[in-house]
Amino acid sequence: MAIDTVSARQAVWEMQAPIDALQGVLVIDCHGHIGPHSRYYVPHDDVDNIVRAMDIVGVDKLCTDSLTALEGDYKIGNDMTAAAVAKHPERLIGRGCINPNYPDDMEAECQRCFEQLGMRVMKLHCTWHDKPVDDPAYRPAIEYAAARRIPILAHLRHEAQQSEAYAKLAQEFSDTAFILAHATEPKSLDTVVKHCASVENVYFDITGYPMCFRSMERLVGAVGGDRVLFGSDIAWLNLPYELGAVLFANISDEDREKILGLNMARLLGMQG
Amino acid sequence: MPKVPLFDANCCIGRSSRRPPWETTSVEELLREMDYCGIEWAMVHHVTAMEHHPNIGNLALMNEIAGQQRLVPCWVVLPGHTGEMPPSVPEWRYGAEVRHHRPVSWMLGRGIRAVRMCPKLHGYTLTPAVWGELFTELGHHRVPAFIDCDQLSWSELDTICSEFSRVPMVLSNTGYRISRDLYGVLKQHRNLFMEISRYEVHFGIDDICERFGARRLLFGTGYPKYAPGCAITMLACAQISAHDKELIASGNLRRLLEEAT
Repeated sequence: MAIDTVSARQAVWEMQAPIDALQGVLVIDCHGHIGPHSRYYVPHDDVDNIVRAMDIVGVDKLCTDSLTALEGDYKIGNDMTAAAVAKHPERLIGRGCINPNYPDDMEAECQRCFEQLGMRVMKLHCTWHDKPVDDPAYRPAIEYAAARRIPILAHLRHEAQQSEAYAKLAQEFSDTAFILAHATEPKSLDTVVKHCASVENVYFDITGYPMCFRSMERLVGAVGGDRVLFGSDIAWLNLPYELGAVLFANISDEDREKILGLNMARLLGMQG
Repeated sequence: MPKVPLFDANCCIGRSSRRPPWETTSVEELLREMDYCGIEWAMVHHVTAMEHHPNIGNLALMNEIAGQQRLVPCWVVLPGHTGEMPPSVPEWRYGAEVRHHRPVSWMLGRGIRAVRMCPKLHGYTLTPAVWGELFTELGHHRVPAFIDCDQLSWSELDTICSEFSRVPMVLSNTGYRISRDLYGVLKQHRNLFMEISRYEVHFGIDDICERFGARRLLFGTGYPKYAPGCAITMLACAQISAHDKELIASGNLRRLLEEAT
């Protein structure tokens, strides 16, 4: 069913969630986290309340990891991710986090995440793990993902400075989807587009910065609607807030549907 | 259901010397965006008043929004001791009554019912010795004072709210990482309010309404830096009562401005 943007916006103006207008529209959030954060308080950050937030606005599926996997012991965090997905298997898709600071663990943890725990996206967090994405320490994990066509989602240490290196990795492993998180960061957007627009297996995750004025329109205008992915950073950030950027963006409804879910469904090998 | 009127508490107009072109906005562009996003009214300040000097920017604001019924002016102010703010500035800038000694009543007489402060941008601190006179008058007239979260420390905010409890203080452009500090000062000071444009916290509005009440929150967008659809959708999806949503959407700001007399 085609998205009814007029009804979605009307619902919002009536101070209602736009869930009826999104009925039948596939919505996949490519970027979420579960659990508490070291530096600030987030209410209701448990998995049941994350699924409740998805229900309120009509998000079908969420690709997620545990924040513990990024900030803390990544093995413990990957177990927490797996437990959350097991609780809501129809709604959550696990992201396996790889920590380059523990190279001896890497191969075994890749096997555990993707062959035993059923995770379907690999997460690299170059800021928290303090290594640039082209550091050799990541190499075994990237090769593992590429051999199995597991999409890789990376939070680069700096979007603009690292986007060229990310594009080179994507060119080297051209059958693998390389998702660039926070692609709409306004100061980095032009550089990200410059380095990555022509690399067809780089995808642009809007998480965290879709609110920056005209960033959605600028990104879609530069790379088209086929490689832009909706992400919210729930429970770090507010899911409806990030969704609102897509609903109110001055883009075509065809692109809006692709961004909201069809593009990510394609990467995950799901039926649209 | 009828459309709920939205009153944006945090809009900026004007051509910035530093901002990228897509963030620059004229009155016409702002009104067009308000129509596109279904926003009824907006309280606006001028970018020149923030990044340059309030006297130049406030005057530009009044010239640019003249005759616009949907736009409410918010002046950026400075401490009074240096004599930079009206009514002490030259007459050619502001017209008659330049020697009036009560700047807040002078501003109220010109329809200015809210002010904004930028201590870090403008190079001063929010200590009572610097701000005492103006805050006393703001409190006397119940004029709300808006301040961006990155412009002061939590201890400064705590002190100002304590010493000038009649001044409605509105924290704006907050970011999402502040709740551990924010909850403490909201609990302590009933004269503290928050504009929600950057409070993009998961169930954040819901949690604040439950703990402190909806009267503490004001709808805002942060336009033109931020896309208005984000804050509108966040408010629409909050799991709070319709009455609370109406308070946040416009009722609270209207009440604060009506109480400024």
